[in-house]
Amino acid sequence: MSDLTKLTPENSERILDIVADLGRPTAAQVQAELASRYGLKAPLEQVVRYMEFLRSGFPRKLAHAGPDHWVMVDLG
Amino acid sequence: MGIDRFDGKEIEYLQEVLASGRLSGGQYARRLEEAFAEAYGVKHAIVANSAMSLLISAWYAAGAGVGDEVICDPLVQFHAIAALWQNAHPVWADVCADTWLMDPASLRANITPHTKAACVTNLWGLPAELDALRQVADEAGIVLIEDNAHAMFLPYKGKYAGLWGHIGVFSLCQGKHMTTGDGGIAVTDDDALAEGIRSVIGFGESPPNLATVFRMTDLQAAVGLAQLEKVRAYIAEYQKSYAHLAAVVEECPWLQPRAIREGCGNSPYIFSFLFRGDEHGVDLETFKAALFETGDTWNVGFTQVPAYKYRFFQVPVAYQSKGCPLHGCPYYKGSYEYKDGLCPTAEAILPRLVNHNCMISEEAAKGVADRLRQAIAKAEAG
Repeated sequence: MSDLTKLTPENSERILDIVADLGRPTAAQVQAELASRYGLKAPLEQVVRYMEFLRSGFPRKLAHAGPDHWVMVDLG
Repeated sequence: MGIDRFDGKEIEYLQEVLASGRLSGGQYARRLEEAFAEAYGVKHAIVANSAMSLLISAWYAAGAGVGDEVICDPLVQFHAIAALWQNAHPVWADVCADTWLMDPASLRANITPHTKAACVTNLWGLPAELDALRQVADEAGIVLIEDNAHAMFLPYKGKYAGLWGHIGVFSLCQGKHMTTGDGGIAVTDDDALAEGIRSVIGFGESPPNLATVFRMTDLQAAVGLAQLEKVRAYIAEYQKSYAHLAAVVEECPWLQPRAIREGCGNSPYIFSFLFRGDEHGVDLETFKAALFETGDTWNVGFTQVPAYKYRFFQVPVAYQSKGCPLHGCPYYKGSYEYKDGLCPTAEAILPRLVNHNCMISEEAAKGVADRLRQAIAKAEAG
């Protein structure tokens, strides 16, 4: 298992890229994509908490898009 | 981390609805309206399937439509989106630097001959200066709507928020003080405004005006009625939780507590404070990392920018990208322009806001508070 309990620029960019690529994914889809693209296998709970924190990002950030769906917003 | 919210009569009331054979248009929606009106001491309480539906209906009842300006506060977008559904033109009043709530002086400054109504958000459980805002609205002859999605049973100068405006709108969606899954309640003492709202949400055969199905089902209302019986006990618990979190911020010289002014109650929803570490040699990114490592769900910067900078306000994407109501609408005779700097206080505050859910048990809040202290110490150590 990988660890997403610490904030790193690399993991933040990876998640933002995945959400941007998938359009309106669920956290579970992001979790699966982290594993397949980067071999980063983290518990869903950690992925969700990391994604919640990326709502604070700038200029790229995540936003809720209905229950359990996410979008990437570029405020730049 | 929260409180068990469905430990009351929800099942009993739901079984009564099922036994009645009517899942909508039955007794429970009316019972919820009556109970809420009694709890608030207001003439009309109107339930619907969401607070957004009620904001859309409230703008209609207020007479706001194509070519009209409505005034909104910029930390959230809900009221302004609802205004777009009526083809009205949102204009933005800035917020106060200590409460982050609509500034009455900015409301007054933004009123023009095109203004029909304004909507103030009692954001995250604290009330704006509702008496002053109502006075400005009355002097201008416009309707004041209160968005109380975060402000259930919130006292302000001797009466509840929601009763200072002409219309108050409450949310019952999943994350709110009381919930029906989705849902909302509007309150007003004005018969004509109540009729205006009902005329939009009560769709039926040969409607007299543009109406749709915004009804609340009796299944939702049954849950709402059970929730109403205990929501004030929840809020009392959240107030204890708020106090534990607030004490930590009060101790820290580089965090600015949110002001609770004289006469204002607190119906805790989100606990919020302002980062001022850069004025004291503390780096924001270091603090963010320390907050993240607490394992709690902190948010830094909220939406980062005011709502008027969102894409759908900046470019003509509403109504099949034909321009209305913000970009070249032929019925709009005003001169308001969407640009940076419309609300300088909101623009300065937003990236510095630090938020955490405050609808948590007192025990959970003690843990969050302890870990916040540790994050502060870690950020100070660099």
